[in-house]
Amino acid sequence: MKLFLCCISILLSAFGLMAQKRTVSGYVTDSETGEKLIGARVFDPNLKAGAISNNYGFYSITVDADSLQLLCSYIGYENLQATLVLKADTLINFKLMTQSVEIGTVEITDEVDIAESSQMSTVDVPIETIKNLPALMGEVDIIRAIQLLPGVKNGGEGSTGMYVRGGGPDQNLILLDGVPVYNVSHLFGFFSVFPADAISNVSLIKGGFPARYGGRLSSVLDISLKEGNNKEFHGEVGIGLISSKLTLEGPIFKDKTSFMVSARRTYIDVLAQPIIKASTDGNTTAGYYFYDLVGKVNHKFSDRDRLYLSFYGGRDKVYFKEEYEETIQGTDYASLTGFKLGWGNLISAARWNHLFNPKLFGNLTATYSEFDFGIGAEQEDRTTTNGTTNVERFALGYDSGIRDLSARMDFDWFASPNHLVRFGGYGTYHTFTPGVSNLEIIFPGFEIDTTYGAQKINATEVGLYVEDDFKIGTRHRFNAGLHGSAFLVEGKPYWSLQPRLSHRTFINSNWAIKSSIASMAQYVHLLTNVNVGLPTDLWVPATEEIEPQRAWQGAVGVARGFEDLGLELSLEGYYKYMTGLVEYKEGAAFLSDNSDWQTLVTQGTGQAYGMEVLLQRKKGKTNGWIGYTLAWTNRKFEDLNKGRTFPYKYDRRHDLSVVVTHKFSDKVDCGLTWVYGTGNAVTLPIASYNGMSPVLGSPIGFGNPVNQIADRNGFRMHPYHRLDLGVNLRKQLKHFERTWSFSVYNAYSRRNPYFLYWDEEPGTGKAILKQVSLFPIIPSVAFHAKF
Amino acid sequence: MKQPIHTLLAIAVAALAYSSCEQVIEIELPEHTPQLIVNCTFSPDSVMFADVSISKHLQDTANLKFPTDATVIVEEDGAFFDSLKYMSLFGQGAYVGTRKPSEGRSYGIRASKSGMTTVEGQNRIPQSVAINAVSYRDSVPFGPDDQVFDEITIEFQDPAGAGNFYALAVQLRDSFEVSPGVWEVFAYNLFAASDDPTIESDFITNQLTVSDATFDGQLKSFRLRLDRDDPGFGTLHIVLASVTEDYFRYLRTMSAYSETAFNPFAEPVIIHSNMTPEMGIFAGYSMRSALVPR
Repeated sequence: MKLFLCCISILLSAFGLMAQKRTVSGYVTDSETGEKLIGARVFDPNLKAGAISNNYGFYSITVDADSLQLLCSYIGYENLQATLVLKADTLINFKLMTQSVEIGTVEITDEVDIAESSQMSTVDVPIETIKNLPALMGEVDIIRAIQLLPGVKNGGEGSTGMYVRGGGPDQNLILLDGVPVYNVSHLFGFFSVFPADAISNVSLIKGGFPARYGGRLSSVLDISLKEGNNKEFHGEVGIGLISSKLTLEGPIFKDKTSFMVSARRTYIDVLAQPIIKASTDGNTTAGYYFYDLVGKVNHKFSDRDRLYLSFYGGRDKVYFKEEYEETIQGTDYASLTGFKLGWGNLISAARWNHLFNPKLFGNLTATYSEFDFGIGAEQEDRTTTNGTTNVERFALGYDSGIRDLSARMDFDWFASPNHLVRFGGYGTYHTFTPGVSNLEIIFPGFEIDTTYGAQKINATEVGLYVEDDFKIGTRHRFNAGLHGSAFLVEGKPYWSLQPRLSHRTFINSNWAIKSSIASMAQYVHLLTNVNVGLPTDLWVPATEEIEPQRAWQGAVGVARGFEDLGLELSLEGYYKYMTGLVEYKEGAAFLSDNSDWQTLVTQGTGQAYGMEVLLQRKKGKTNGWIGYTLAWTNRKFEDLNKGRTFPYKYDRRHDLSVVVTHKFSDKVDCGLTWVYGTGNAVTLPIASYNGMSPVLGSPIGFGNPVNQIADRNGFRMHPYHRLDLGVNLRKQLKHFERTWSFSVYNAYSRRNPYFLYWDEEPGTGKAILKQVSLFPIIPSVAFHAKF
Repeated sequence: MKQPIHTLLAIAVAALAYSSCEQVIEIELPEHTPQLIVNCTFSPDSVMFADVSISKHLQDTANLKFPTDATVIVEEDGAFFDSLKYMSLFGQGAYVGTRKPSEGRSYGIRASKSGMTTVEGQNRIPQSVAINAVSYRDSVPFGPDDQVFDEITIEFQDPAGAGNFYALAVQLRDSFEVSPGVWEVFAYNLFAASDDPTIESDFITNQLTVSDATFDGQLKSFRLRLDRDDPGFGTLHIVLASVTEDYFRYLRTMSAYSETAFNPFAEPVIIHSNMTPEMGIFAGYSMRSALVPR
């Protein structure tokens, strides 16, 4: 802590010397909607001084000059220029206009070159690009688009799990408007919970984490919700194969208060319900649905103060209920069989932006995040004879979840053109429910109604950070910082000081070399059963017995912008070492053991290293990217695989993505994605032999044929590859713009592995290993109306 | 808007029907070269006894083979100790020696057969640990439903220093007259369980295993619960065996394997082996027992 305070003192005193300079600050917004523009560049080419707008669209530049020629630019928007004579600190808000797109003109410019930023291992994916990609069953999916980036792997066919640079799915800090989201999956992982129509910005950080981020080891996926148009009322309607969605936005008080609300729901259950009822004489109801509801309100009190309120609620539910009643010889019989499975997130945030002075921007946030999972089954039989009712009932329920209450204060201090200092702190109160089972048994003369399993665990997490993004000369840029965090659970304290450093040096005007090193700590674990693809995974805290996860990651790379071609190239190599990783012990089983979860798990280490290439084009009619990853990811646990190193389940040696979108005109655009990945690692027995359970005092044991597994994850599934195609046909009608989106998922119907299972050959009894492939070619169509 | 919705629904039904057919294809497994397997746990109470068999590919539907012509040699502290000879035992490959091994000594086993890779392993017999005290309590309530068990408490002094591993068993011993004047003594393990999270029970052999990782060098006692339905005849004995780490890991992994072999939700289990090449076990133990006062 002394070191932390010392750093802050040195920084503050250093910048105190830079007085008597003038500051230009303000917000960069969309002129039509008033929406903030994150990452816009405000730059004086003569002074070579500039700034990038922060997550709230705010920028600040301090210069030692009497005049400025500011150029404000942002991808997809017309540049805006302003010439200023500076007599005092000045507030300039840039309102950028979207570029009109016509064939034969230069459509999109992006002045922020990939080579310029000190931040490496970071990718911003324009939301419009994501929307133009071919979509599975017409559902545009942000996570699925992110999985196409180098260094990010999916969990297999249809999965929205993210595995970044050898990390697990729990090691991603997925922020929705700054609030951590614990479960990002709908429909058993086939779709993510983020409705694309409600999203304004998506940014992924895979390494070289700035000090303001903490709490996860492997990535930060920062997703910002739209604020809502503060000029006019607008809306979007989408009708797809499996769901429909509606997004509305507009001003409550023009230029002052705006709202955005978006809802999505599937309707498979609604369509199937009449068929199910008809085929079961009305005795059975069954179905599946998911929904999302997102909302945001923001109010601008003044240029200095702004308040945001955002909300997300989403849930998946599977249900089955069968009821029968009949009367036989004066006795009434009634039976009920039920099953339900559900999971969901509930998230809310209140945020207050305050501009203390033109150089100091503050942001106070209070958030609530909850994820819960529940599964239940019941069987009840009632017999009524002569007014006497006899009940036999069996019910089993299982619940788990996590709930966070957080507050954080962040400051952006634009100390000088060469220094942007960020500092702040946060506190989170976690409540974990790591698996509670309820059992109810009622028989004549016998009743049990009991709860067993782990009870709630409360924990407190706090942290402080400071970082400085600074330039040395014209060639060198650094981001140096320190993140300190502490975690208190059941009287057991843990703490961590995490230094972060990233740097960029221009080799010449086009090429830049980058490097970073970052230490991370994570106090929550996700217990994942390797054989189950359900959201049955349990969020649990570090405890007295279970250590936190820690990691450090180093990366080096080069980046180059090809201005003429509109291309950006980055090549990065990385090495990551992780400790405190958690896995279930061999033989441990989900839902079949009443033991405390801590006795079912074991801890070990992991390492990941590899190389990533990203060639990206953001300009022109044709854009997209080619991403390639060569990677190795291993784990080492004393209690697993005989203590030997083994490949992680998602160790994927080669991973290639080709993503192309092309705009033929304002009316027609198309998209193509092709992915290839080495097969996932799985554990399989190859041989069988006579095992023997030894008996004390007897030389003869119990012989028993057993299967031999040579190595955990020692077998590879077939490689995964898939081609998706899509075309969007747009037309401006009198009252709205309509879009028909046609997609083909898995265009050449590749039989990609979903899971493997053992079967027996009829007649011979020979064991056969079979692969299940889930999705063949799937055509889909979706309708979209924007008004 | 009505017509597009009808069109969409028709396409949706067709697409979902098409996509709902999962495709199953067969996968080829890597080759496996059959290997000699030796299973041998040994103690000073008995001559060496090795179970010798031959492994097979998982897809081989033939029965496991038990060779009768293998050569099995045991060494003690690096010198020849015994040659185990084949004897027919329930049609399996039992190889039996003539000498009893000793506490504190190291042993090696080497098994070979023409045309097959020789397998070998090393282990030792750890020093036995004395049982300091044993007590017994009748009808002890346990759990939220106050189910009643009998309880045995065993106390022993764990030697300080190197990691020690134990196997415990509660044995019911009795004898019966098989023919006039001829008595046969029998013993079998009763199922016992413990609240101690470091102890694990094996449901096949009714042994409990524990390592001294949390009580190295301490005077340690364990309370074991016995099901009250067990027969009341004979005498109860508690067995405390000092086992090697290989014995401990082998028994635990065999136990986990047996319990979860058919559970699709269970993590796969790799059965421990200290043989080269892997598969099979060669592990020593020494034991003490005490009468349980009832």
